[in-house]
Amino acid sequence: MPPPAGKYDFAVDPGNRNTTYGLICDRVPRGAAVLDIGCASGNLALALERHRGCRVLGIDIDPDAVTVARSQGIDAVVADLTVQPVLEVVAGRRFDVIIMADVLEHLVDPAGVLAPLAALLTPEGRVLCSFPNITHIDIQLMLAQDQWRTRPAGILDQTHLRFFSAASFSEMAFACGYDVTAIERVILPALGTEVLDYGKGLRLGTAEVAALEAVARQGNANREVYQYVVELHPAPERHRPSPGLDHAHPTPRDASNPQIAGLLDVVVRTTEGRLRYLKDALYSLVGLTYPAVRAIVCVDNSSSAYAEAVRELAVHFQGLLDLVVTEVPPHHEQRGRPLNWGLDQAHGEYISFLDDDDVYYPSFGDRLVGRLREHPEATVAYGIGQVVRGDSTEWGFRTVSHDRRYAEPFDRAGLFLENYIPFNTLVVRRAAVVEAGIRFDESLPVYEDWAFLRELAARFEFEFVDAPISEYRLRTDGSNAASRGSAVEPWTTTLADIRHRYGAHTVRLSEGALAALAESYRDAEARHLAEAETSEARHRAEGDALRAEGDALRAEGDAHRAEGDALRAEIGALKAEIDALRGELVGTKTLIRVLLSSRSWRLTRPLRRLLRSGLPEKGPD
Amino acid sequence: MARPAAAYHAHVSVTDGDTWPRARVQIQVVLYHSERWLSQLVAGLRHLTPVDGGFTVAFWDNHPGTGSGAVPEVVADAAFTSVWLPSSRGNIGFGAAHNALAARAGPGCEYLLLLNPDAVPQYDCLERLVAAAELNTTAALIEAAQFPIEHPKAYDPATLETNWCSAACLLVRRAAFEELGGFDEALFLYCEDVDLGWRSWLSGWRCIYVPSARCLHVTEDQDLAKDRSAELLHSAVGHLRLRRKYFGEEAAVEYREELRQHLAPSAVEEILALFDGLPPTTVDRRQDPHIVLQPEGIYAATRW
Repeated sequence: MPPPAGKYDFAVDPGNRNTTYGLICDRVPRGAAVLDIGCASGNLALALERHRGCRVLGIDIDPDAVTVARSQGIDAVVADLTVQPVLEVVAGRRFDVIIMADVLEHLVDPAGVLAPLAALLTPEGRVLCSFPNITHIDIQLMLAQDQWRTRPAGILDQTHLRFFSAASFSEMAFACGYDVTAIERVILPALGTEVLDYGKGLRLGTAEVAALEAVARQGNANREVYQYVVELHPAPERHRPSPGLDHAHPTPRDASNPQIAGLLDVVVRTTEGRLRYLKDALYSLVGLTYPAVRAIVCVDNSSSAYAEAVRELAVHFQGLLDLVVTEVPPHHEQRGRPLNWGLDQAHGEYISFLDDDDVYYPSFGDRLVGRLREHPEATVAYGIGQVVRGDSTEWGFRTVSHDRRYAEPFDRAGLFLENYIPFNTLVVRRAAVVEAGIRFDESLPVYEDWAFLRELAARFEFEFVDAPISEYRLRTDGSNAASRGSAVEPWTTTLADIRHRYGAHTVRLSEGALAALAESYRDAEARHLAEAETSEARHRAEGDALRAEGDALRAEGDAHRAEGDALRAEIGALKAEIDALRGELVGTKTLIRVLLSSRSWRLTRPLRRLLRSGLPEKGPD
Repeated sequence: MARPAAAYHAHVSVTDGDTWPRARVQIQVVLYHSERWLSQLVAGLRHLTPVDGGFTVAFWDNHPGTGSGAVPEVVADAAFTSVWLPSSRGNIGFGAAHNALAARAGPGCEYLLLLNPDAVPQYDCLERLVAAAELNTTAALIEAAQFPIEHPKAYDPATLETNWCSAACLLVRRAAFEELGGFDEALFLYCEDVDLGWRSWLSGWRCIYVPSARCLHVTEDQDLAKDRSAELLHSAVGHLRLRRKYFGEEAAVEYREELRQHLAPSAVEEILALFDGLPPTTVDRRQDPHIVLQPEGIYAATRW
């Protein structure tokens, strides 16, 4: 006999991902020890025991409900957690999952109940909460018509004491010491809730239409969320990776976001005080010649005043750029968080990432998406990132000089050693990433982009487009690094950690990827060998040629030497001849002097005449 | 100049000079096959922060006919007053079209904002340019910074002075523009802005660059399928004219030789045919330090 149905007894449909219970069931691991706070008649507990093999302890304030739950075979106790410490109620038990499905909004002090639950969790344990969304468009429409009506159930249940938006709930969770690690949504479109009395075939008045348009213009992605299901993990003491703590991979999400063909979603990460840069980043998206672009601006770790300023800026882009502004729930400076948040909001066939102080060049989308369309086997396309140096001024970034370009053709093995692909130079097929369960590692304080790329490289093909498609803007005052804490230490420790964690042995490589990696190593080796052989042969030939040249020179030298010897000999002979001649000459001169000293003029006169006509008067002595 | 009423189409009823919309700033856009940029440009103009005295927008279409029918429809929907003039004489060139629009500006008009159709000024761009113009009363030309791909703009960061200003997004003091006689209409496309800048300096006006006023320029050198031959042709003709005008006949002859060395004979022939048809204007540059030739002659196309 079915148990009598109470007010909060909802049917459970575990396969249905647009129901609160369906979403909760999906997030409970098989065989988990579960604490269901506010279990009512035990329908959810029963579903968890039957479908997921869990052991469930239920708590409810209503004794009648607990009686029904027990009659269904559920281990349930009556307790009022606002007056009775939860630790006493569960008597030292620990749980993998604690569920509070639509409970906190009924409590005077929800934080007082939520905070102590962390102590009941196993090391990997999590809290799952669901709550109605007070910012649903139907509420806004009701208020726009100057009305306020509570209801027996639903968003404006008469017994609700607290009202939450995604942001306000996340702030409370953050204050209680939790990180929001996932947010799921149950969607009910405008006019689809119990809040307004409209039936089917309703004709809207101009006031309603105007209000709907006003809300639609805000670009608020949360306006059709009826219920949120939120997963919380106790925040670790320090957010830096350690070998022992490996909750590094947030739970993969399925590809449930409907895909819009051809759309390029650009996740823009912005944070407090950078509105002046964000303006350029968004205008650069206006300039993309690719026709289908949507910006998902993730306002990260910022005040509500900054979020408001971003929304005001967004008004200037109406008609220029499809733009959504969303606030990332507060967290502990994990750079991966806003990126995952943006990933979860995306509907595009393609996704890319842009920091608020960088810009894309106009051809970014055309070139990268174009390349992916030409290469169906590739999942990632990336291009050249231009580094630009400039000044930070009160109005934004002023270019001073252009620096190096990041332009490295894809080398899978190389990406495991260092990151040569700037994060604002790539486009990824979103479905492939979601299906593979690849997320940004939120335990990394830095290098979250590199870890992501390495995971992609372990599974997918990359295409390199040899053209500058984006700009990485480096401010000369060093404020790029300072914005996230200027210490060098997180970079070096994370580098060591990332190499350890994502080394070739620990990355979950598919067989195909392993083969491709091995192939790329083999290719590189073969290339090096071939290069070495070629250069050896070249050197050998060069050596031979030099040697031959040397021999020829030596022979030539020998010939010269021989010739020199011959010449020297010839010179000696000539010298001897000269000496002989000189002797002969001396004899002749002596003879002449003797003859000239003769007294006979018959002898001396012809001799003197002869001397005057040509013979030297004086010879050598 | 007499204007036949039927020669232009208008969104406000313009039949003669008296009813041309009045505003302190006239934004002027010269169109030539620019349909694909137009809705984006108009959306950008809608968001411009208002300036004292208001602004109006004037379009000159150098290629009216097929495709341009969309122009008035897009513009008619906008939240600003605008006029649209189809050229009745075919493509009269960039500078001549701007001169024609400037000549029609209303009596209260103090500034002209020359804007390329493939540009989108940031919402505070006009406001910043006008503020700079009011602070620098001797500046004739006040140039906005283009991004994301910036020109390699040399300027003095203290005085903001620069040798010449690009006309892609340029605020012009109307009185100065009239005194200078507007653009040199012999320059069909390219280099007319360099020429206007140099003549400003020679007439005692200044050219300044305002890096905080920013304008998105979807530079066509990013266009993958773009045919660059027209750009090359007109740049070369423009550079020849600048050389002869400011540096004398020998400087032009020198560049002719360079062209012969680097280009195909048919291209050189085409360039020289156009150049030789131009009036041989000369200007005494008086050794003004702002008048400096660029070696390649392509003043705007060299980007980082």
